[in-house]
Amino acid sequence: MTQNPLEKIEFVENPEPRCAVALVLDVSGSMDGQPISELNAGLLEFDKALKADPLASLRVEVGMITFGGAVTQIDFVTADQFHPPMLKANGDTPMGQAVQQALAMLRDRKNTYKSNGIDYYRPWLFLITDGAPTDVWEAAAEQARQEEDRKGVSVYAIGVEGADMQTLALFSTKRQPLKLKGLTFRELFQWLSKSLGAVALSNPGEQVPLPTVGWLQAEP
Amino acid sequence: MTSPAWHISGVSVQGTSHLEKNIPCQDIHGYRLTAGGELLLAIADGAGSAERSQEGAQAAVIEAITSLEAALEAGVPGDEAGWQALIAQAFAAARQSVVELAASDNALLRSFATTLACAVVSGDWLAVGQIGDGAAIAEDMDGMLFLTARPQRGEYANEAYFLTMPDGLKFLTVYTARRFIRSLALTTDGLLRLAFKLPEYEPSAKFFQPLLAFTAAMDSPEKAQLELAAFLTSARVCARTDDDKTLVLATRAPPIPTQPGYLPSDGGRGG
Repeated sequence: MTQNPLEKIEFVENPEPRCAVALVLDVSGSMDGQPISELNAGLLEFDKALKADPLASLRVEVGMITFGGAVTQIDFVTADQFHPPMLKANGDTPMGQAVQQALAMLRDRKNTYKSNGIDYYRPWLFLITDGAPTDVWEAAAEQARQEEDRKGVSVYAIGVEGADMQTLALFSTKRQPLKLKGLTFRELFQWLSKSLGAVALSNPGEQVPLPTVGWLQAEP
Repeated sequence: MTSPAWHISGVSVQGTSHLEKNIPCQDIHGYRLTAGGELLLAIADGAGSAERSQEGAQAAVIEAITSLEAALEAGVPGDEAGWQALIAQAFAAARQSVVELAASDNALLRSFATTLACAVVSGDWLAVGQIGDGAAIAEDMDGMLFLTARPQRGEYANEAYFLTMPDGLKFLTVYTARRFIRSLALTTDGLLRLAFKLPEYEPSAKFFQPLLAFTAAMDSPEKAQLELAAFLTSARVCARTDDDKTLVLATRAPPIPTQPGYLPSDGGRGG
């Protein structure tokens, strides 16, 4: 009896599809002290959780924009290559500029995927703030809403204690901003890594139910 | 007993993610060799988030094959337009059968969401239709593989098109050619990343040729089906895909009829 021909089958190696998330983080002066150290702890948790999932760590891509005085950018890398920076808080809150830059960064990333023939999922913009924008933010909010309406991005806005929730609500047409319970950044980022992992493994035609949100304060 | 003109084998297996989430295998396949000698193959992939999609997939496959067989019995098309119309008619009938299934239960059509792909070989005619993200390839008499149904994709990796969408039939793409082929393979999206080089969807000979050789050498459909199922549920396949998987394979049984005008360059499949 000869060898079963099915054992000779070889598989094609294709690049993994990608799910990009832009973390848009408030590091303004009001975040100083416990908030920023809890946010840093949350990012470490996020990094650990993503790296613990072998497939998600190859499919989820993390990029970061921080706003506090100035706006800084860390370009997209797959989660296995991600190293969370130690963030420091100071300055005002140029949230409008940060969101515009994040939207541009996501558009560029999608173009890179397209030109390299890499499949991708709808990217996420994950915005966290404890205050109100100090720059001109209306155009940025409008852009975010338009991009979301075009199905170009999913916007998740998170308000820490003291955040202007009414302004934050104007950055998404699809979902209300969520209020973080205390400084539970670790739970927040565990949820984010789980949710992104679920999306990045989903098959065509599948809706992805996101994990129940335990870190939320119930809205009245 | 006369030996059949084709060796055919097909299998649909549940993916590991469906097993974990306790949802059934939503892939369905079907095939038939008609009295007139035409080969009919069909596959359907029920949507992961539609609760009765395996029923939709089953209705679509059964009706597509029934419609194709009835139409061919009434008359075999003689030109491309005729084949296009035959395929379009089969998709319309398949969609209608899912619509009726949903209506008979007062259920929403989208709970039965499914893709559909089907293929017909009649003499030297090949016709393939598709709505959704399945794939079909053919092998010519020189052993060359070519794509006959390209997966339809939206912008995002988890977007899909379904027969059951409100204007689902407008997504139908049909491939017709007068090209004598040796083999045909249909697969659902679960295997795409293993079997094709993306983004061109170039079929991989290292994936398909062993499967076609296996089909050519098979002696009983039951045994072949078990072996294919064992392959599709093997650890090395499941390490690469957690979705349901379907393969339908058909290859001409020897002696292969000579076609007028066809000159094999190497005498057919080598040893």
